[in-house]
Amino acid sequence: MVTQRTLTMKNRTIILIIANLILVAYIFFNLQEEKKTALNFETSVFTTLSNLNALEFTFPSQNKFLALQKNQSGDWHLSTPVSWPAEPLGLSNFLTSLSHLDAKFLVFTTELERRGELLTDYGFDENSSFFVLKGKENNLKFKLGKITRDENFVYLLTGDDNEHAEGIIWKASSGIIKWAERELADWALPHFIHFPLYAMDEISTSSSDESYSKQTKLVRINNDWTFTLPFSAKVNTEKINFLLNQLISEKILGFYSEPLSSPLPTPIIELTIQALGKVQKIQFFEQNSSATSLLLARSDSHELTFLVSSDIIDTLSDWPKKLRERRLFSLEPDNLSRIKITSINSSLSLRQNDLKSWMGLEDNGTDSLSFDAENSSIVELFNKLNALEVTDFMIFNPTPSELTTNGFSNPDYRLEIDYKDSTRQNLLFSRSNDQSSYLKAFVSEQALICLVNEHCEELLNTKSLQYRKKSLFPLGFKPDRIIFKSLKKAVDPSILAISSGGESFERLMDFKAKNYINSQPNEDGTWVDGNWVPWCFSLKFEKMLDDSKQSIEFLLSDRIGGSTWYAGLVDEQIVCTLPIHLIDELTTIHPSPREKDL
Amino acid sequence: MKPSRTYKSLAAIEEKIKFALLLFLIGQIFYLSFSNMRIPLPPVILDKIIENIDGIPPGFSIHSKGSSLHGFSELHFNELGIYRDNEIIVNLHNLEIHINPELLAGDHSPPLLSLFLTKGSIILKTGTKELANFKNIAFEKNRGSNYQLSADVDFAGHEIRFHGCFDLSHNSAHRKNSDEKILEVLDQAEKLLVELEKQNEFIPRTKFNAFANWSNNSLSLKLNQVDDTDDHFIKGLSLTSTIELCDPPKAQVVAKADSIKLSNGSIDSEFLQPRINLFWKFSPKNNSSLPKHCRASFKQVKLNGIIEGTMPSFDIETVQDSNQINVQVFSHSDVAQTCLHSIWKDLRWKHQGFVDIRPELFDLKAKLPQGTLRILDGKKLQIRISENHSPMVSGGLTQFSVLAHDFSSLETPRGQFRLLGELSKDGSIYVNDAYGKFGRSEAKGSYKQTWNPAEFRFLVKGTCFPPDIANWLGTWWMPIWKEFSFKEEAPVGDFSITGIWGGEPGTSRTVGSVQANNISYQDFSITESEIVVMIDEKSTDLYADKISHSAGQIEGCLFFPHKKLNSPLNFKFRVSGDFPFDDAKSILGPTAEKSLNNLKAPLLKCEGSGAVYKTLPEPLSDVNLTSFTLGINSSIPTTYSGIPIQSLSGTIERQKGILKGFFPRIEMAEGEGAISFEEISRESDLVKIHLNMDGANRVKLIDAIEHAKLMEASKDENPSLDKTPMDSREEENNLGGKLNISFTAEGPISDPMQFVGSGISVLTDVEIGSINFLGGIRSKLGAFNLPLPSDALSFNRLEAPFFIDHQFLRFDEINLSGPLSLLVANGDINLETKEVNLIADLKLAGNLKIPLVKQLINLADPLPKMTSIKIAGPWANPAWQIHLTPGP
Repeated sequence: MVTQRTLTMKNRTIILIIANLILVAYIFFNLQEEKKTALNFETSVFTTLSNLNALEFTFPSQNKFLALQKNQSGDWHLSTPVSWPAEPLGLSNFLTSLSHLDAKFLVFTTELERRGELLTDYGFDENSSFFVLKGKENNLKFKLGKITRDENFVYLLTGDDNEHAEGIIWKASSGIIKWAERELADWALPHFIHFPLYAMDEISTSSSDESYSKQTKLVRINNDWTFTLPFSAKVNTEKINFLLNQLISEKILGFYSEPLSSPLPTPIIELTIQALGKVQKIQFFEQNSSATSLLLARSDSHELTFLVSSDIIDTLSDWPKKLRERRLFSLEPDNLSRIKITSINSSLSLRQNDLKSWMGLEDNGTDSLSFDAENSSIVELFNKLNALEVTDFMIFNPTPSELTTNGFSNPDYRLEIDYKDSTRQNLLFSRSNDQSSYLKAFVSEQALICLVNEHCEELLNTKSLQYRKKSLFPLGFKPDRIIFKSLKKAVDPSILAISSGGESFERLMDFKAKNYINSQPNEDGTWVDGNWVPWCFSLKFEKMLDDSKQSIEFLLSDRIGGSTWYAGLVDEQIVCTLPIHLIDELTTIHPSPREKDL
Repeated sequence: MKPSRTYKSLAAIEEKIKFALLLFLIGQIFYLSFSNMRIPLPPVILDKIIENIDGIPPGFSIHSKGSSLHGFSELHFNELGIYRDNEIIVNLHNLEIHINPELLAGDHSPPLLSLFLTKGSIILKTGTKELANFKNIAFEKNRGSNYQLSADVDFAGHEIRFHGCFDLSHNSAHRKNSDEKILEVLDQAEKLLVELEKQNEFIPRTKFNAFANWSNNSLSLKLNQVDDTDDHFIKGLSLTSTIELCDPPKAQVVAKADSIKLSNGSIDSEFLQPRINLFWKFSPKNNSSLPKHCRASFKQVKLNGIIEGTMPSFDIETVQDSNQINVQVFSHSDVAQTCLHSIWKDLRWKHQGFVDIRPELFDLKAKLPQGTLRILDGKKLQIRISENHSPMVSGGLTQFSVLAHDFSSLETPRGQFRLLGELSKDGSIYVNDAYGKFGRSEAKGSYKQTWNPAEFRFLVKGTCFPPDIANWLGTWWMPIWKEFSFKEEAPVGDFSITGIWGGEPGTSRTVGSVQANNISYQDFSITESEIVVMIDEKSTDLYADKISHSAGQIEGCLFFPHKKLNSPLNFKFRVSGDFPFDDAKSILGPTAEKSLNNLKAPLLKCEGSGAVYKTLPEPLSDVNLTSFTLGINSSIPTTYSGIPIQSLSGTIERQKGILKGFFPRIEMAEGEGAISFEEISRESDLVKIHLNMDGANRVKLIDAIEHAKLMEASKDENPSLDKTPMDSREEENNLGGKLNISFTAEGPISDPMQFVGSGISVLTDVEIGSINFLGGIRSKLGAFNLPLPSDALSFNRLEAPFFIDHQFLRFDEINLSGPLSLLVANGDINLETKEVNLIADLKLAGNLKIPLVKQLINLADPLPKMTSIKIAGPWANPAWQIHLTPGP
């Protein structure tokens, strides 16, 4: 009895133990399976990429080794064979490609023998290229093997020492191969000046030859650049920005990774840039071999010599002429009090009064004429003077004899500009002796002689006609009716009366001259440039509404061409052309009788 | 110890072991069953739990549907939404969250083991539109606090396959500040994504691989394009970006591509090797999504379409700070050196800079109606832009100047150009002062351009050789000048041209004049002229009040309907004055010229007008037939069909296709008369002619008619016809004779021998017997030795009514009368063979005693019986024979 009970009890225990063991084994192997499915290439890559510090590329067959490292500020740079900032996009491209390799597990290396295969069957040998990704906590190394027959995939061999004592062969996208074929220059940042354009504060060049050394320095104050050496002068902002952009865009054309065979000669030119509180000095040297158009360069920011195009010498040369501000004027009418143009026998002076009106005085040596000046003509003069540029700089800081030699002891024109802040600008102009199309100018405030284009001479006109007040009405005249009449009696004796209040009336009320003509009108017409211009119409402005009836009658020619219509005022002996808006209005009033002709 | 006690104690231990094994087995069974069990979670409870989770930024909330617990550590949600300010921003479907079961054991490692999501979407804060969709998201713990992510995202139609790793280890104190940064970044990121999504409308789907890495409050995102077939808009795109949640948050993006293709329908652009570098610094004050710094560069731009060619490389740099934005464009190449700088400050743009181009290296071409033309060519083009300190135009904030040497635009002749102008705030362009000297032209002018619509006005004055500017003005310009030819002196022009670029045909208007000396219009040479040109949507009109030529002056006008009207009218004309007809008749059009082909006149005073229509296969109506009326007055000899005319005055007109001429005064062969002609129908060449001529010199008139073109055909067929030598004509002429002739006839103008009609001719003032008429009447009659007094053979009047019957002139009764006798004849003359066939009777007048005759014949009526004479043969010298008729 006891035995049977004991046996029963022992059976239950055994059953329990067996059941427990079965369940334990089941649970255990389930977990193992989960662990096994976690075995993938991406996990290793992601783990390493998440804290990547360095990359190494070894190409035993080419005897080439390349290493990149990340510094403390998170920037990548090449460390071997040269020390140089890395090109961020190239690196980014590589890391993204790596994270999307989609490598599929093939086989453990330990199983190769069982399968009757060798590592070399997959293209792995001592000459295989390999990449090493180094993270803070782990490294990932993989070798590149053969490309598959369909050329879409390549074999990779990893041996992650932290987790697997054995290697694993994977099958990955063959796109990884292109990274093995990249050259050193493809990984390097192509430029040797690493400051952003807007951050540069000072820039200078110095060069020396046998006799003298030449230094040019420019400094930025707020947003404006100024020459400080060899003289003090304003710099054209766009020209300097253009130059700076050229410099930061200059590319290296190669590295000298080996030590130079002989010491470098004296640099042709040295460039110094100050930006973001740092200074970078770059020296440029001619190569010993004259067969190349490349220059050697050394920068104090990098411990190596590199190659650049010799075109950079042109970029770094002649800054005083290239960068100096060429605009002679920035005239604002509100800031000026007087402008005076003097030629050999005459002068024209235009002065602004407190009411912002301009008065003129023309002096031809015997007579003088004062007149009310037209604001728009003055503005036009300033507008054109502002557009004048120096064509070429000739002499900086000229001596008195140089001034005499260039005709400035007896100049053809003088231009004086007085500002409201009591400053004055003085320029002398002299025609060029060699009958070229340029005028020579001496700018006294800048102490320089330069050439300006000949059409500048058109602006130095001392005749008052173009500056006279353009309004053709007497002061205070406000007509209330306009009569337009054809003088071609036989053909078209039409008379049109325009009363006040309409759009046409308002447009005609702005009756003014475009340009005055140096001619006298009579009742029938006038002579213009040797051609007789008959009057065809009469335009009479009448003031009828009060007791003092006033009228002023203009005689008009026919429209001549598209943009010319002459008007004459016999009483005042004025002949002028009309502006285009009046021509348009008169054409609307009196269209060409084309329909009647045909 | 007793065996039973030992047994009992061993049995108790065994029981305990069995109990433990049973418990363990139950536990394992419970574990296995529970790990596959699914327990639904009520949403209320879940929401409460979520509310208490630390780390959700303020304003955010999470709500779920269909949530359940699987096993010990899996949460499943059918749907889960993340809300911001009660608006859903993220919507997730089939979310599975695996929580670290070791948490229960008090482990301090991150609670999340993995997260799987079937699909989800990010929704714009301001609407229901989905900004991005994602699917198959797997977010799994890797090692420590590192997680790896894979996801497929669809953003604005682009497929992005994401992989990434995220380091979620951080301290909570730091995290508090991060919440605000996250919100800022999220706001800016959403703005940016919305902008990108807007720009995406025309960009085809692209596939990318992306790798993201989050650690130390910094997210880096790298993107590579994986599909770039030849027709794809972007090829070889790669991008790397970094977002740092520092104070203030910063972001940087660097991207490059092999090429980007864009198209706007008329131009396809391909930007080669574009590269862009963007940097943001976010702050609450700055609401703008613009980067603080941006630099973009392009190696080259290829264009195809209405503009084709390449543009040189250029860089764009922008810098933004709190109160202004700077944009600079640079170009360094052999073709162009450029720096253009625009500054946005104080609510306006300020522009300055320079462009220096070597046009001969600029290979852009424009495909225009007038041909595919190089846009720029020449040695130098300089453009300067600066702030305008003295504006001539209200609001003209920017001044520009252009200087060009040895320069050509649109393949006009090379020359020098100078422009000075202003740009206003709305982009309108005012060229206040323009000068150009190129080809045979030199002119000054101004130009104005406004936008919406693109209206322009061009005022130009100077010497202008019209072909020089043809390429600028399009296909409508040259047809005006096609028929003109200019000699050395270029015309002086003054033009106003207005229009709308790309506007409807006919929106341009041109008014101007050309003063030209020594020019030709077709074959019409003009010594001096002033032509007024007016062109609008209806027509092109050319007026000339005074055109001087070698023979006088003329005025007139030409009117060409606009092409868009598809008018059957070619042109209308009016002319008045001295018209050098022979040289200039071609200007009247081919139909009129053909109609007047037989008229040869070096100079006519004429006044007339007409309308020349295009030659159509079937004329639409009578109205569409070329018509004209020309009054002609000429005192200089002319010819018509070879007939010399001393002077004429009359009218030629063509109406409804019928040509008519009426000359009430015509002087021909010293006589005066009138002539009229009229085409009978337009389908045939039949004409009706009426001529009335009095007092014409007999010899000259006959000679003229004989040698007229009308007679040329018969002359060619009968070359043996007598051509009386000039000496004889002179002798004849001295004998005098006045001829009056009047006839009306009808027939085809192409064959005068087919005319029919009637008329009468009277010859007087000459001793007809003595002249060379029918071989000389006196000598012919005298040969018969008739016993007639000599005066009986003297005739001084010939009256001959006739019928024109094709090539015959038929006479019923020719009366050749003299003082004593009368010769009456009938018969015909063959105009073709120039032969006569007449029977003539000689009658004596009065009681003339003819003794011999009295003896021979019955005196009652002797002559008719014996004096019928047959005259037959060539009319210059026919044979005369007595023709005896039977007696009564």
